[in-house]
Amino acid sequence: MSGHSKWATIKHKKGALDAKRGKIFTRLIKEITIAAKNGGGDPDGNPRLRGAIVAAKAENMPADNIKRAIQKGTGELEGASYEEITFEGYGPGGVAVIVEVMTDNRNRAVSEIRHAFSKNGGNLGETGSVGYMFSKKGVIVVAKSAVDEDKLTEIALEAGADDLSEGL
Amino acid sequence: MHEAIKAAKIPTEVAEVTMVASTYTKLDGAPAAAMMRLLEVIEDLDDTQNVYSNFDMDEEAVTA
Repeated sequence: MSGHSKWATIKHKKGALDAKRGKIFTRLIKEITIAAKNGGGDPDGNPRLRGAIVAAKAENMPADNIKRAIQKGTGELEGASYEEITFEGYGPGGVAVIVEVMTDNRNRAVSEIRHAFSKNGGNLGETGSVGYMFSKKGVIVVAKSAVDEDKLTEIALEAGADDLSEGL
Repeated sequence: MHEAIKAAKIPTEVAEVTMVASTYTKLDGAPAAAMMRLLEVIEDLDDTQNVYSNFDMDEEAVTA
């Protein structure tokens, strides 16, 4: 079967991320911390925090760690203060790349990202240079074997999906 | 949407918020390998949270 599909990219991306298991907890904790900082420590009133907690639980993160991450965000516990930065740039062949970074040291992050791009045939662009090509969307993947296509189409349309596409 | 699919008792593999590109750039050969290296290096950085790109390639080339 041809892999001419954006899912090939997504799958590759996920695989590469999963390979760095040691970093997953750090990333999840940062996401929880910053979500709690921006929207408060109550997951019921903070969808981003809710999503971050679900993701952390899916990786079997202990409840204590989750609680501490929230408290760091709300300021109940001391911790590094993270800042979110979005970088936009181009890779080899003019591929658009967006990197979301959470860092406690903006200057280090900028220099590391710039270095990564320039060492690998890309270059870091201005904010807005590639962002217009992307839109933030929720993506739900369902195994083809798990459902009848007509049924899925019906559900997706009823729930207001933008698009339904077939992957691999 | 996730609720609707779950309500229909369909198991979901992935549910996430991501950046979807309007068009994808397909590469093969050397540029594709360079692109993969770039993504790996960026993902390896401690500060990186998420990486999105409009990179596309053939599945065969991934396994090759």
